[in-house]
Amino acid sequence: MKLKKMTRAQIAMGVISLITVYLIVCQLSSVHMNTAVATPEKLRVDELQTQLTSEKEKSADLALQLAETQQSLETYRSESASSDQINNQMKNELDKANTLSGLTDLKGSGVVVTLSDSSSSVPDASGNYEQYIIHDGDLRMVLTELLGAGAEAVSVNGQRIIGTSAVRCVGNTIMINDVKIATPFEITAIGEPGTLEAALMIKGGVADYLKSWSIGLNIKKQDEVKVPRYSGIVNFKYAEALTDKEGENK
Amino acid sequence: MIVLIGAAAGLALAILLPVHIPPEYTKYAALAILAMLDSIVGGIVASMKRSFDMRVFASGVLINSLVAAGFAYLGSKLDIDISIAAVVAFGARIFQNIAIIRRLLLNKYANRSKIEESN
Repeated sequence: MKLKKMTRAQIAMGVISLITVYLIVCQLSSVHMNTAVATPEKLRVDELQTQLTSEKEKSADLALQLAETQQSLETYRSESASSDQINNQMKNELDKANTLSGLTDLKGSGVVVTLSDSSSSVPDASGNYEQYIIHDGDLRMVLTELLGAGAEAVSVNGQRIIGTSAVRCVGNTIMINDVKIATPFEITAIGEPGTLEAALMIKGGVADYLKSWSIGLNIKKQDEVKVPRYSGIVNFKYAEALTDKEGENK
Repeated sequence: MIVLIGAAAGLALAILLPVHIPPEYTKYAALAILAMLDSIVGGIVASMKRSFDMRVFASGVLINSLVAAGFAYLGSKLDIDISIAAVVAFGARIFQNIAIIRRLLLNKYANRSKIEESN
């Protein structure tokens, strides 16, 4: 009876130790796995770098896809337009609208304006560096001046300025069309080169203002500059076209 | 002996049938492990002293695990780590029992004069 009791004890402890070891091993592997699932803060820089690279690749792929889709859309348009004259006229209208809204690559005479951060190494006795870098406002001033002087198409570092473009400061970079751009800023504008240059160089104007902060401003007049098309998607979610009748009632 | 066989079987089972414990439950699993280790060590002591009682052993495993889990849960709700109480209690008991086992073994194999229980 005593021996039987002892065997039962052994078996009971054996079962419990089985469960315990099972739990321990599962726990070890789980803890290992759970800590491997890292939060963004725990990710090391190189891992983030890898992630960035893959995201960039993805974004490049998507851009390619967009270009392809736009091309096929263009094919459909030209196909349908070539069917008859009314359609042809419509195509012309559409082309004009596309040009106006910045959906086509354009070329023509114009200027290339390059803005670069202040070159003086010690800008200020107070060490206030912030005043000497280019801000979104500086860019907006130049853009407005160029458009005011009759520029027909403007782009900044390859980002076409369209009706819904925003030039804004996000963190320590400038974003245009939701794309981050960095110094040096190259503003390409199509228009009458002399007028555009004069608009910037006018006394007390943008050029003088930027010079007072020793921000580098370089204007090059060119017979042919190229302004790329807007590469994003134009999607109106809230705005609706007003019919003529509604317009009169207002 | 059977304890070792059980441990080996548990290891084999864990390799064959790995269960992933989600992060929010690893704390409970850890407490369960401690509770069971405590029970095993306690069981070994009891069987060495020939005073093993199945009812005490089984209820000890069950109730200790449940109370430890309850502590952990309550602690997480109150934002106080009450489970530390369970960890300390189990840990202290395991050390105590291991000390007893040590003395029992020393008395059994080292045929010297009885080693005092106070060591």
